Amino acid sequence: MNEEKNPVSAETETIDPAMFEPLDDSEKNAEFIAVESRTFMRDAWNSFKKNKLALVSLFFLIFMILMAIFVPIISPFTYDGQDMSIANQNPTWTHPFGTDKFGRDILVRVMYGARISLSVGFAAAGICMVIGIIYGGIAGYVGGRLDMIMMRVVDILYAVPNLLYTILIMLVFGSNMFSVLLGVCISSWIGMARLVRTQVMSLKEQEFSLAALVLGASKQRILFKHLIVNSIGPIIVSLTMMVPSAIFRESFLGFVGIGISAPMSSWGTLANEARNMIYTYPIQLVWPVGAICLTMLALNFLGDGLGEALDPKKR
Amino acid sequence: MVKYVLKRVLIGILTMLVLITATFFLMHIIPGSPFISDDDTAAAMKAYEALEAKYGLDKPYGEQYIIYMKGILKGELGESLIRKGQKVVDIIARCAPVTAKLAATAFIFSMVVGITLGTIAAFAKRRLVNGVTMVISTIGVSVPNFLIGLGLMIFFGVKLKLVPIIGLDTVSSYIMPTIALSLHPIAMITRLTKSSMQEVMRQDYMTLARSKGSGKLKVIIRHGIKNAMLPVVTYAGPLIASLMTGSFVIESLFSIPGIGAEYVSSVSNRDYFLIMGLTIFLGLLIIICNILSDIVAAMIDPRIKVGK
Repeated sequence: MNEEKNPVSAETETIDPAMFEPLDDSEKNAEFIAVESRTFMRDAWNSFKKNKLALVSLFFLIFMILMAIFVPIISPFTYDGQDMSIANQNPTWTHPFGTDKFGRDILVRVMYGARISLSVGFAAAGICMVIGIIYGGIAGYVGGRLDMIMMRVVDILYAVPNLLYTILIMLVFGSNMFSVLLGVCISSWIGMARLVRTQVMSLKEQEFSLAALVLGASKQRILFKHLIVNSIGPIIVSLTMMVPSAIFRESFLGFVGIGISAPMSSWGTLANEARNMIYTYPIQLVWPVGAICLTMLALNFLGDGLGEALDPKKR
Repeated sequence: MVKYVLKRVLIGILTMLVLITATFFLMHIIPGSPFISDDDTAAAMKAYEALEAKYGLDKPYGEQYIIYMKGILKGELGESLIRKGQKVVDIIARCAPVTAKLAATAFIFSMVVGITLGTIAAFAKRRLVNGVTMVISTIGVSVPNFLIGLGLMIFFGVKLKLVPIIGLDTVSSYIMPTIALSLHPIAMITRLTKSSMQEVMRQDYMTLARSKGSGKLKVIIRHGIKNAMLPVVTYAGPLIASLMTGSFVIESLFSIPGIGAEYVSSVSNRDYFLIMGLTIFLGLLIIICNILSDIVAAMIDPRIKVGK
């Protein structure tokens, strides 16, 4: 075998460099791509920018988050500082949102409420996303009997009356952040798991997944680096829809009176407190209700905008 | 078909078992007891222990669980611990119809309005029509139903005094709770109908039906709506269930003596048998609704049961 010389390489050695002449520039650049190549995310951002409603919503949410962080730091008032001499004031320059029946500044209380409501919303959505991705990813990628068992478990959890369970959990574990998150997450991750499973199931049949396998990538790597990353669009969209539903669930609990306990009030609790004053000081109800509605609206518009921007078929 | 239904029913039974077990043990972890009172004299303690023993609450949880499960097999749900002598079944029979009436009204209302709006939105050429349906569906999705209820109550009940704000005694008192409960489902159904209608209209069989010479409206009604209803039907089952279980806040807002109010008070009173009874009832309802909507979906589109 070694004696047999490759005829091609033997010939190559004898080629005279003078046989070649350099290309001129116009030919060299014939395949030059004039348009800068754009990544998927850049493309999505460009299309997202065109949706004015979604853009405004994004800025509103960023503004809201900044307010929730900084207003309580800057403001001279605290969320529980009572001053009966200024109880139930209408909006003034010192108290832009007025004061409640204990003379507490409503602006500061609403912003503290934003801290609670927004962190519940984002934390719950984050937890559900992680659980949903892992659970749905494994079920979809492994498939077969394991998939069947995992999906039956999901079916069972799906049939649990989740509001009843949230109430039970609140009473078992007390009115704190942990039990609210547990109560919200107990059923919300299911939608994410189903979504990821369907995505992974269809993506794993495609060529790039086979190519990764041929190149020797481990199953874990294929699942998390290729399949999950490729379904990131629908995941983000469903994430933005999950945040408002978590905020809704939390404010619902507050409104029924079993939310995170006073004096740290969430928006739902604030609305519930102000509900008793609707005949005398209806203005006090406007702030927490407005905060809930505007935030939910903004999140929904953002979700719609992202849905369109991240779905290549809709562009 | 039979095999498909059988499989769903089997899963349903398994779900009930898990639900009953989980609720039973979770409920007993809640601190407190149904009989606790403020005075801790010897006599009160005696009475407390006697009551615990009477209802078998002094036994270990495992044993209580077995006793309860045996009771369920005989169709026995026990009696309320707080309201002496009232059977759990009777309490459910009294409050469930109230919620059911409201839920049924809200269900029909949201189906009719949602499908109509969705169909209009799918065919609307004018921006105004599209805008109006978009606004309704956006508000419905974004604003929590208890806030809608509260808003309606303040404006129409308190300010204008057009409709009663408490109870469900007259026909007009249904208006506000129904609207508050329906806006979210209406928004969802409108979106579902619109997108699936537009999808259906692009299908070849619609062109075929038109090319055979059927009128446009006839094609939409006979072929379009029927085929576009599939996602709506899949949504309808869980919707009935969520209207039955999710009206807590609306019930408390409008002081309606329904199942939601009963559930909240039973949990805070630690009325163990009533909690269990209501959970079983609502869980069963959800499961039956889900199975029914799956069966109807499979009847509309025979491909479904093969696919699963």
